[in-house]
Amino acid sequence: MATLCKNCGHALVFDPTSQKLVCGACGGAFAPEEIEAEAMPYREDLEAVSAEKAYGEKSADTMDCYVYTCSECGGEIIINGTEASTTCVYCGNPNVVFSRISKQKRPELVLPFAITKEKAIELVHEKIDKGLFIPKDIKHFKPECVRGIYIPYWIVNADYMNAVVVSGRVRRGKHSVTRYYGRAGEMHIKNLPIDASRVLTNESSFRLEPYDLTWLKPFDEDYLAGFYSNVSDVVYDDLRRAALGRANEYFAEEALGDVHDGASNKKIISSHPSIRLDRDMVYAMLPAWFITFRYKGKPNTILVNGQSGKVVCGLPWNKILFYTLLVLTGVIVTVAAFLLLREILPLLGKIEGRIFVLVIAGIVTLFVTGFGKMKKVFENIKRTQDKDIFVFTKKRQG
Amino acid sequence: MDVLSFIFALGLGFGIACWACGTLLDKSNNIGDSTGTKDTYGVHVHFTCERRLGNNETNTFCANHDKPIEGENNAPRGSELVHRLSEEELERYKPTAAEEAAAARRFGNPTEDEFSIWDSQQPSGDFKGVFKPLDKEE
Repeated sequence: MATLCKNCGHALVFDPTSQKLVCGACGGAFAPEEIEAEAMPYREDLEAVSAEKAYGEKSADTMDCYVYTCSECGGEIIINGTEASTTCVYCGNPNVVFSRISKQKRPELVLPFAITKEKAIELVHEKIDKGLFIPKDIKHFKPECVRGIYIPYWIVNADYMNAVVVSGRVRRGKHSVTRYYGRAGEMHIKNLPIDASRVLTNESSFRLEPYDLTWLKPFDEDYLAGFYSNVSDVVYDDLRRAALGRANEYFAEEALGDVHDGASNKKIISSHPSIRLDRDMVYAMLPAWFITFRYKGKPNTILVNGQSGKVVCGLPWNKILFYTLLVLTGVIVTVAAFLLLREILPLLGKIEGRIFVLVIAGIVTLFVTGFGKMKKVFENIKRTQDKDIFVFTKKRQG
Repeated sequence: MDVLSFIFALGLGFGIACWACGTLLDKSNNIGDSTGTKDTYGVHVHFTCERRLGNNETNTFCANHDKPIEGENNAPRGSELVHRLSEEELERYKPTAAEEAAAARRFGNPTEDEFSIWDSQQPSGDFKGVFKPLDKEE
């Protein structure tokens, strides 16, 4: 346990609303910087022992399990290889695994939770209740578990250079031709947060952004009280790849926007990027709520930014309603278009080849755009139903 | 003519339906689908070369220059766990003089140091006149 109440000795828990450590027994409230974690000097050397070592047996079930002792009741706490704070199942007190956040492993900054558990659930309901294709069962979902988890992040600054070739179609008289444009340049990225937990995919963590980093505070174990947290487990290559991916996106956006010349259908056909991350990256803990539920036997995890309350998820859809609406709209528009075209086409006489190609291109574009949007939803549903994140959340004791 | 009208109408009807329903589904079920923007991280691209390329130049660039630069000088190994660097490590992984010069001059004119960085990243051989990331002629 990190901190005890000065008045009654009960465990304190961080309250996002008041931004103070609150005592559930006597109602006392203290600012984290006001009080010292008295147990810390005695606890920082207490290591989590691997389950294999503790129980003397090797099995697949205990591969990533560590045994820690609750500082309050002495109960056995089971944590995974990267957990830094958790809750004791026996006494319910928050526990910080000090050995995992001591010395060089200790984060420099923390962004405290500003959204409470209740508010997070309320925000999720606000979002999903409006969804036209979200099934009723999901709208009335009962969360299996709701966990406030501090995600480890590396906040990086980077210098980036790239040279790209952009292709675009330009009209020349009756025809259009492909033209190529060279764009080379450099940029500096400031305070880009990259998640340092391998369980959470970059796609999911990027969607939790933006975090307002001006609210970062010097790290104090007391902010972890009542929440779960992990430590960094990524390697430098992971970090570079994630930063490069983001930088490529930003550069591409600017390079495409920089090609004027009346070109359409612009795309990058060749890229030569290079990135250099500053060596003195900042290690910080950023907050997120993980809300899990099951729908038709499948696990779903909704993420909520613990600071801004941004809800992130892709939810299963009501297929009957969707396809009924698709067919109905299709039939109505087809009938209307048929009646219109039957009148217009004879007036036009023989259809010119160019008009024919334009109509076909328009129809294909509509199909491709529609399918593209549907594909995006499918990909995000896949992320929401990611088993690893579900298990990651569910395995937390409490 | 009726058959042609029907075929066009069918394509148009289901094309529009697919686009409209796809858009509605995206809006309804894809929640929070956005990331931090360029402005969030103070990104401003400074272009060092902007020009139109001919077909030959494009082909040469794509064939010879389209390779990501792997690794970087003087940095921790890629397979190493990311950690806060100690004083000794910060000293050991200090950026090279060329890297420092490039970082110091972010939005000014390219320096000789930067030309040499880019040149060292180009494939060997005579590629005179080919579009290069930093072109002194531009």
